[in-house]
Amino acid sequence: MVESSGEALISVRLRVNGSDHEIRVRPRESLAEALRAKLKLTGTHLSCQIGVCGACSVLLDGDLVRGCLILAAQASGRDVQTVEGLSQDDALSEVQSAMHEQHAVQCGFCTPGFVVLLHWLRAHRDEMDARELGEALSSNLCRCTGYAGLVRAAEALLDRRVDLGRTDEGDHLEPARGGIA
Amino acid sequence: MRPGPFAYAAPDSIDEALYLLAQHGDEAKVLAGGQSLIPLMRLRLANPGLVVDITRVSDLDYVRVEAGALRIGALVRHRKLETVTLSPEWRILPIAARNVAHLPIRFRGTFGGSIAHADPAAELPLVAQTLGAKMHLRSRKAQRVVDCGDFFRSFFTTNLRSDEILTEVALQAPPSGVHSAFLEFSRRPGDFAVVATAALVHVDAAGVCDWCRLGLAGVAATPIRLTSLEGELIGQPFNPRRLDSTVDAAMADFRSLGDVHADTHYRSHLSAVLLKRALHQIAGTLVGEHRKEI
Repeated sequence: MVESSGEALISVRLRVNGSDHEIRVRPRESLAEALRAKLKLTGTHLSCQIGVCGACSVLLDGDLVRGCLILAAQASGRDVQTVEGLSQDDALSEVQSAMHEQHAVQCGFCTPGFVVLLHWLRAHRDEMDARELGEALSSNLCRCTGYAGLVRAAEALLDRRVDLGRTDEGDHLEPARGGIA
Repeated sequence: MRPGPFAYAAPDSIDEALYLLAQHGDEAKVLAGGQSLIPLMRLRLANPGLVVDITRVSDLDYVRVEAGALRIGALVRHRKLETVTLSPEWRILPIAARNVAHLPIRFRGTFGGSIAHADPAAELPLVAQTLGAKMHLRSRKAQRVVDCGDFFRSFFTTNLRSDEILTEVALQAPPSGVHSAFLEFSRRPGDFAVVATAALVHVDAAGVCDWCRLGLAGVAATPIRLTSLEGELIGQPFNPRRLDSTVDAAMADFRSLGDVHADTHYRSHLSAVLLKRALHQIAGTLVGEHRKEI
């Protein structure tokens, strides 16, 4: 059993982008904070820190998650992939190229989170319909509101239509989601 | 903002977790997916002295049908519920799970966590209330089963004691051949519902409704079941032409709670609108089935 007394440091073992690390963290340190402060992987950005914006997106055991809503201690023994691990050397990854070509970058603050999100969607596009892809894309925020480029990049990258749930009559006439069985 | 300081424990077994809760009482808080608790801690709305992380307890992650009930372990992630293969009478669960927040939240959030958090607008407590769930609670010394009607007490308030862990939620199976719909209205995808509804209807061979469950979330301090409207539908032919008037009559005196996001009038109106849409969707699938038979 992992256990800390009070604010004492806890030893956490992580596999990050293929390398093993052992770091010491305080219980209240999030995974995103630990990646930035302890491993100097500052591509994982911190913004809202309450799980809304997605700037801190990372892959945990392959799952797309919010780095701010996981304690570093909770990630002990797990495999983490950050934005730094999603491209080789200095070459742009497929995701980055699509974002570059479709002008999906404005100020750049949300960009690493979107790279991680699009990387996950690229790997799992066959499991999702157009509406699910649209909903997933809407889970990260760009406060430059540069969504048009992001949607173009997603559609080019995924080779799929991304349905954002709009209707010709306006966005709010139908319940945004739901379903029937 | 950062959470206040706390001590952290990640026990490997439920017994160790229960021992810690017995020792620390109100000071301790159970952490499962953390998708609600960690934001609350960051906003300093929750300031536990000890966080007991139960995600390393391996025997609470299961979904299985047993003796006519669906038993869902507390640590089942929403994403698993969304993608798991279940027989048709349980189809409302993946649909409801898909409506929870955004994909990255669903990878971490847990069924037990959502039920224990008891947000009055949340999808999974609504399904639990609508299907008459039994909550299995364990403490170091005892275990008990609490009916959902007694479990959900008020806003974010349940029957769960500080030394207990919700280990399982058991849902009684709807009748085979049930039709279900889950609809919610939210301002943007991924937001909490303004109002959500769960509707399950079974009709007999003559087209008469012989079983019905209806629930709403976002309208009261807890998710609610609409037993009077259910009573109006049961025993009657499930006729699309009469659904609107039946819902309007039964909901005429219904008064939702209101808040800054949507007032009483709006939520009450929306409740009837969503119920009618859900029931019409079900009527549509019944017509579809009838055509297939011809």
